[in-house]
Parts: sequence; C-alpha cells; structure tokens
Amino acid sequence: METRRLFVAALVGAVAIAVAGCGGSGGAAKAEAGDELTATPSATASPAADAKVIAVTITADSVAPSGAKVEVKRNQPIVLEINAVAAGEIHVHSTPEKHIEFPAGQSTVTLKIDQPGVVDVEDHLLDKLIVQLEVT
Amino acid sequence: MAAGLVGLLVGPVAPLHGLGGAKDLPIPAALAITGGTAALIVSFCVLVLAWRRPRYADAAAGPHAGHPLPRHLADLLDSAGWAWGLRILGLLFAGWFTWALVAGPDRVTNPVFGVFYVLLWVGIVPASLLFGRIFRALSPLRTINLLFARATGGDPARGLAAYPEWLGLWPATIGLFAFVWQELVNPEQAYIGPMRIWLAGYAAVMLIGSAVFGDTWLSRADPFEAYSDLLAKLSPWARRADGALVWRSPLANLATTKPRPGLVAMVAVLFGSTAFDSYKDSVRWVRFVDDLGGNVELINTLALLGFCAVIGFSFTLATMTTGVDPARGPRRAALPNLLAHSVVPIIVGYMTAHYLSYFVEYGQTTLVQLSDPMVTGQNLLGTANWTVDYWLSYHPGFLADVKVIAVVVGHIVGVVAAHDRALELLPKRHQVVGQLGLLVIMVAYTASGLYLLFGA
Repeated sequence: METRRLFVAALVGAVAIAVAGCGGSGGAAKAEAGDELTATPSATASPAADAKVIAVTITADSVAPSGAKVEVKRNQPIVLEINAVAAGEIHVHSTPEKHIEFPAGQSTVTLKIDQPGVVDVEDHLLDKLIVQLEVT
Repeated sequence: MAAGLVGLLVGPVAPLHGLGGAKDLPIPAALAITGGTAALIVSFCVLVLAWRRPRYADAAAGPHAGHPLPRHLADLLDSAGWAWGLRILGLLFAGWFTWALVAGPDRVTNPVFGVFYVLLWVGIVPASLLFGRIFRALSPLRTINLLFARATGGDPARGLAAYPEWLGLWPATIGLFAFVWQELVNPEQAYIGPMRIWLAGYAAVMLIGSAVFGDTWLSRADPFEAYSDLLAKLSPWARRADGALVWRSPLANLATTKPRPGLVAMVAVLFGSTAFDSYKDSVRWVRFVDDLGGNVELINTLALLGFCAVIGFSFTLATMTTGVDPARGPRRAALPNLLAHSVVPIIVGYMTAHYLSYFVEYGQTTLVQLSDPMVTGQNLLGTANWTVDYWLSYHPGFLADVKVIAVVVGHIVGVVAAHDRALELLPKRHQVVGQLGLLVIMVAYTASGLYLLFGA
C-alpha cells in the first residue's frame, strides 16, 4: 500500500509540474497598477521655486545619474528633466507606483510623493536604477 | 567593525522589480549601533554575574516544564475535530490560492504574490510565535499525504523506508534556500510563471518524499513546516515530556529545540538571507553590480550563498572556541548545533525589523486582493473595498525605533539562551571564557545588522 501511495503521489506531482510548465512563463506583458504620467517635450516654463530638479540622461545602454541618492520632502515637486535618445518609460517605485512615458529628445515631468520612504526611480527598458529618492 | 564585516560581504545585485513600492527610510543614527552593542555586552556581564546555574537544562520535564492547560481547553485542542477543522481551513485556503495561481492573470495585483511572499513567508513568524506549530496544523500537503494514506490503506507516518536521521534538517535548509533565492535573486520573482513552477516542484517533492519516508519527511524537508516548528520554540505552547499540552516560558521552550544535523545551516540561511535582503537594495550595492557587469543572477546567487556561509562559518567557529571536557560534556564538534537555538530570537528580531511595514501594509493589500483572485474587479470575500492603512510609513521615527528595539532584544534573548546552554555544556573553568567567542560574534552581528538597517 505504501507503493500505491508513492504511485499516486508521483502522479499528482508530475501533473502539477506539467501544468505549471505548460501554463508556464508565457511572459505576457505584465500590467502593474499605478499612476500613469507622460513627460512633455520641454517648454520654457520654469519649475516652481521649491522644486527638486533632477537632470536625467538616458542613452541606448546607460543612465545618468546612475544610482544617486536624492533627498526630497513629502509633496515637494520633483522635476525630471529627461534627455533620451529614444522614447521609453521610467518607473517610480513609490506606493502606488508611477509610470512615466517619455519621448525621444528633451522632455519634462513633475511628480510629487506623499508617503515617506525610499523610492527607486528606474529606467524600465534598461532595468537600471537612476536615482533613489529619500522622501522624508 | 561593522563596515569591515559588511565590506567583506559586498557582492552585487541589480535593481529588482520588487513588490510593494516604497521601502522604509534608513535609520539615521550611529547611536543605535553603539547602544545596541553596549546593551548586548552589559547583558552578558549581568548574566555572568547573576545567572550562574543552567535553568532550562531539562525544560521538557523539569521544574520549567510549564503549566498544563485547563482540561477542557486541552481536550478541545487535542480533539480530532479541532485538527480536522484546521486541516480543512488549510485546504480551503490552498484551494483558493491555487485557483488564483492556475487561472489568475500574470498581474502584480493577483493576490498570489502577496500570499506567497507576505502572508506565508512573513506571516509565518507572528503566527508561529503566537500559536505554535501552526504551519503543520494547516499544511495542505500534510493533509493530502494523510488522505492518500487513508485512500490506499496505509499509515501517513510510514513510507517505504525510514527517514535517515543523519539527513536531519538539511532538506528543509535546501528548501529554505530555494525560497529565498526565488524571493531575492530570481529577476522574475514577481511573475506568475516562475512561481507556478516553484510551487509545483515544492508540492511534488513534498508528496513523493512523504510517500517514501512517511510524514517525517514533511517535518524535516518542508521549508515552511520546519521554519514554523523552529519559531514555535519561541512561543509559549509546548508538549511536556509526558505529552500533556502546556504553556511555558518561551526561553524554556527554546531550550527544547532538538539539535538535529543541519540546524546550524538552517538558521544560517534564515539569518544570512535577511542580511542579504537588507543590503541588496542599497545604492552602493546596485552601482557595484552595474560597474561589474557580468551575469547578474549568478553574482546574486553567489552573494546570497556567501551571506549565509559567512553566518554559518562564523557561528560554528565562535561556538567551538572553548575548552571542553570530553569525559563529561559534549565533543567540541557538537557545540555549534547545541547552541544554534540561540540564533532563533535573532532571526525573529531581524524579520521584524526588516519586514514590519511590508507585512502590515502589503499584508493589508493582499487581503484586499484576495477578494478578486481573477483580477476582474470582483468582491468575493467582501474585502475588496477595504483601504490600506499606511500609518506605519507615515511615522518613520516610530518605525525606526521598533526596528532597532527588535534587533537588540532579539540579540539579548539569544545571548541569554546561549549563556544558559553554555553553563550546562561547558566545564566550570571554561564557562565564562568559552562564551567570549560567541559574544564577539553576536556583537559583530548586531553592529553589522544595525548598519545594514541604516540603509548601508
């Protein structure tokens, strides 16, 4: 009877793995819940006096700054001045997340973060850390 | 010291697409390191002066064996109905989870991620501390093994062969490493496909293993069951040597941890992985990986393994730097396992420090998401309209205090447990000096642990 149990267990285990494998990592585009923002091509409008301005340069394979620490206050306007060789997306790992779509060339986006914490700002395509915001 | 130790451990990791958004603010005080290590040294001195006899040497049967529960309560908790109630609860929850896992979409709002990484992995700590060996009571795989055994006319405790005792907790240690690898290293940790494969492999290994070795396999190889059983040793619930259900001092309970082979490795994986988790998100680390280039996954795997190995080897070394009396006490090589239970409170301290806000906030999010397993906007359990309370995140000062206190208290309880065991094991003239190695390593752990919590 122990052999029978082993047989049943092995069968169930094999089916589980087969189901997992087949249904497996289809790698469908994963939509994350979050705020969607769009960076607009730079106009002449100058940022607010209390804003934290961060110049971001994105090339085909690198970001600058690369993993800098930036301190900001809660609800302080954060202005990203983006200079990119191609259109792309920046992910701001706040709660909830913010996704910023930017065009090729110069563009600007302003965001605010209300909740204190450490927030990673990454280029989505390159999967590289641009800045880490310390929101206090 | 802290920076030096951490410097040795530097390895690299890329920015993960982690779950759950913002992380806690770093703790802004070198004061915490000084205070924490001082607290540890002071408690050691007090112990050496005031705690001169082992109190918990015979905790399962002696004067610290605990108070029996009231008859009716004990009868209820020992009844078949109670056991089956918990098993059915476990099966129902596992069924709900499996539905979301198999049929649900690959979206981060699918509750499977929160259930796996937060409710299970983090929730197992408070649940086991409060209720004892909770995972084995709920474990759907233990129940399935039981049902298979009933269906085939066998005994769930018996398989084709006896479990080889020399294997000890090594299978569970490997399982725990597989979990922390999935959580911390796998770049696709937040995708549903790799999670399905991980869990299917887990279920297959557990079911086949328990058919071969009986349900002893689950106690020694199921990472969640072994972890929960270990944490339950810090709960007030226990069985006396005669089997009676008792409540006793968690310290006395901790002393009844069985020193099986692999116990040191198991606590090293639990402790080392939490340390790695604290460091891998730091800017310094991320830049280091970026500059290094190369296969990020491989580097991460080696770094995770390195953190666990450093803990395991330093603990082994520190516990063995003492004189022994082989005629009366244990051999030197047996000491690390006999003292390994003292790392359990430290693990609890770091789990608290590291995961408190994540557990409270992402845990709430998960409860909300559980109402909508197909992510179509349903409210099946009535929790979909709950809102998440971010009070902890808005009080970073309070959060920081709790974190420092958790780490320091964890270490102090660890020192007490180790001291009591050292009095029991070591010959009289080595009782103080023999503990110094362990004290040094505990101070180093505290200092580097707090340093890591500062955001490195």
